[in-house]
Amino acid sequence: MTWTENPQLRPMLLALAALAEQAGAQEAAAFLREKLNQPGSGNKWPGLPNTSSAPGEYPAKQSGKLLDSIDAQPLGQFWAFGSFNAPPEAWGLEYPAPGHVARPWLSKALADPELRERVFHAMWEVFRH
Amino acid sequence: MGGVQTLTVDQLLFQLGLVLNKDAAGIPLSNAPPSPLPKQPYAVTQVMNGSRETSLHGGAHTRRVQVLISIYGFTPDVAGLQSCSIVLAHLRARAREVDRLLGYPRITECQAADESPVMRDAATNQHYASIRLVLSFLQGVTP
Repeated sequence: MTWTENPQLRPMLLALAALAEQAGAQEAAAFLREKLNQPGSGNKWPGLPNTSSAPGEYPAKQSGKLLDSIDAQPLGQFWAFGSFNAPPEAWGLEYPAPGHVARPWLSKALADPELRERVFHAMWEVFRH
Repeated sequence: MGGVQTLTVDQLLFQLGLVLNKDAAGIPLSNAPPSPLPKQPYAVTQVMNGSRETSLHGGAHTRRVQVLISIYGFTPDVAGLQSCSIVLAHLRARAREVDRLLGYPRITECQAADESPVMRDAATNQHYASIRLVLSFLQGVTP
């Protein structure tokens, strides 16, 4: 009597993992859209529609270009989330030009325990069902 | 390796020949650009302590803090581009030597994270770049 592997098991697990990965990426993109869609608590500059962010916050929504570029898409065999066809401000907020102060939005999100919690929950919901 | 030799982020920047902002007492305070702006390359740091990730290691909480280092003021010619990338490479290579951060206890590890390529600002006509360091520190232990 020998042990044989269930031939259905591996494809089933891989399909489930792909679904969980998609759910995690889409949840992360939803988190970023939520954080980038609100005004900040900093200065109100003339000519800008919303109150700007204070240092340490997520950048406030002004033109909406960065917000519109946030998406989750399949990239090769993985799912990627972030800014697709990124506008220049996506780069400038992460790495400040001379005379500017950075509002890191992607690196802040990657270290955010709230994002981790939400992504884990979304993936767990896929595995649970 | 241990011992009494310590290195802060500001000391590392000073050793690389970058000008830092100073307060009235002459102590480096690098969270703002120096005023007036010097002719030499200068550095500005930004500590992101809002994002904290906790993990438990043997009873002490390990938290992380991100330090964004921006280096400015390199000349707009090829020499400025090359010296900017050389300073960036030194920062990346020597990041692990950092074991102190002002106001934070017990820095256990410092890793170089993402960095920008050397970019040129058309408005101020200079080369600049940024690199992010991730410092792990222990919290919840008596020093």
